[in-house]
Amino acid sequence: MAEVNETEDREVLKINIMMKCDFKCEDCEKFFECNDPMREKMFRRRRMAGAIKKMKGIKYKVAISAGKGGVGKSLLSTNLATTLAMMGRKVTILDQDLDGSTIPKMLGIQGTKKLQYGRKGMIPATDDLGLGMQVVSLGLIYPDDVITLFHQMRRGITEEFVANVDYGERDWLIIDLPPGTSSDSCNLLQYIPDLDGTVVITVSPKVAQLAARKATLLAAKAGSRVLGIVENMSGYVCECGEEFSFLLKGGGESLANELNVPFLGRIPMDAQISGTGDEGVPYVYKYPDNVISKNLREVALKVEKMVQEGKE
Amino acid sequence: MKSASTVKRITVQEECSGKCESCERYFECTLPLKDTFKEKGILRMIRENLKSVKHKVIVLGGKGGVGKSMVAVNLAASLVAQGKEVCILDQVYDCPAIPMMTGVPDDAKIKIGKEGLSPYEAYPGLKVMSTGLILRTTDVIIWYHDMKRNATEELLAATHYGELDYLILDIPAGTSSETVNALKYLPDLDGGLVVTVGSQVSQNVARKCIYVLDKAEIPVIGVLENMSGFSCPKCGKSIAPIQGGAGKNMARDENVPFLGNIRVSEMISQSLDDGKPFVMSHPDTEESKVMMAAGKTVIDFCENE
Repeated sequence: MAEVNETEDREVLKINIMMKCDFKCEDCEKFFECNDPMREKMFRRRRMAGAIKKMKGIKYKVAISAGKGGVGKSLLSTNLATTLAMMGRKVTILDQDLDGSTIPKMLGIQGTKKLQYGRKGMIPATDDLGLGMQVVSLGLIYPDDVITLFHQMRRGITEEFVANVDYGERDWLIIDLPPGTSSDSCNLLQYIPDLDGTVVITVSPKVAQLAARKATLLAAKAGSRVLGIVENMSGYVCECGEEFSFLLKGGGESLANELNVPFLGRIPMDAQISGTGDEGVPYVYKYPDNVISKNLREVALKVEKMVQEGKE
Repeated sequence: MKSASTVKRITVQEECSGKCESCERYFECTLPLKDTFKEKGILRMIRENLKSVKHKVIVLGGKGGVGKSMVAVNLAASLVAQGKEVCILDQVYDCPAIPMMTGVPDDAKIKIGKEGLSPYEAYPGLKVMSTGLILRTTDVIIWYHDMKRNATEELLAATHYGELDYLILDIPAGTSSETVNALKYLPDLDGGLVVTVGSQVSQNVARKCIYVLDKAEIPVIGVLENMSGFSCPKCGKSIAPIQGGAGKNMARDENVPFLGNIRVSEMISQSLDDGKPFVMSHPDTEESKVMMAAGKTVIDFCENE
């Protein structure tokens, strides 16, 4: 692991990474840095190309990433999707979090809906709200089992979810990434090279920025456009109308400035927001007039405008 | 056209490749080969290397952002305050935060000597071992499972910990890769401390953690609920940003001790950004008392049983 300096007080300088190519592009840690022409060939020949075919009918594909856990990726995915669906768009959510698939729970279909298998691949489950949202998630197959999944299996599941689902004609695919900037996040970024962009969500403390910074840099490394940064848990709105901060504030915006990407907005918390996740009704659907919903709608509009402009 | 049918399971390969170190079914396996693996090779090296470490405790949560690293840092600080020699082993590879949370300067590096890597002493009696001491904050390295496993092996078998009372492991979110590696390589862990937040959504994940510990036959020391409520500075109304109290319920359901609530506060985030554990900088607060008590519970659990 460690490369050692020759002098007396030796410092660990870097971590060794194997650089030789074994032509297993789908399994390569240096995929995004590789410029070998073989990469394109390998890519087309194998199952990776399947994703492009299956996702042909989807207009915009956006990933929600954070690097860090528990900052609100799933919350943002669910509510962004619901906002878009309420605006009349056809939305599918792909839950790429394999250890903690929470999207079915947040939409209230955990345990009641299952993925179906049809002639053209898996058929996503639909929501109960009548918004026509579709969900693909491991939580729809295993509602509450613990399965240990190492890298190869995770890749296998990602492969199934991107290349063997009957997505059909959709306006939006919102992809909820798990924490971390390795396994699952990279798998997905490899399999869907034509993502329209990535939205990074973070909370304000500097410690959280460590992870958000890496997530942003990873997206850039993978060639995906960073649509912007959202700051979650940015203050608390009490029922008496007082707004105050309980984590620090402003970290999202300063990270956006540092990395030179747009800042999309801040989402405060209130007494209802975490309850809506437990209840299985998205916040923006239940409280469409609250300030949080308004902020989320603004984020959705900004994202939509950006990807539309990106397409032209 | 055939009618659609429900997808019932994900196919898992069942045959044995003889590679215990990268097997997903390790904890369920009953083949004699597993005993050989336990006796020889890397597991023995780790056992030998950790001989001078008296107790090993893992902090886990399954879900991300529930405060695992915060608890690890403050648990370590509370053990130090109770006269113990402690090292925190940061098993988070994607974004190691322990160095920042313990105030290790940006340019600090770990040294390598004859006996292996030497951890960085952040405070008297509190050492830190982390890949964050090797990589810079802007380095994005993609780690797949085997690389993480190798790094874990390296950190466990080739680090010179010296005489330690406690080794605290901080692992990332999820219940697969890093978690399973740690449990596999350290079958003699004293126990696990599960951190969760009050909402039900996070309980689903935290519960999986308890099941994984169960599978690996490692006892649960207790459950800590983080980010519970506070009161509004204007109207004084008590507020729970994350609804629930579900940590307590889960502890009861799963029949494991409940160690208390830690309120969410600006003081905590500030103390982490400043790199000084709040148990040290704000010893009189409610939160520090909970953490000190948790430290006491850990000591009782490890040393008296």
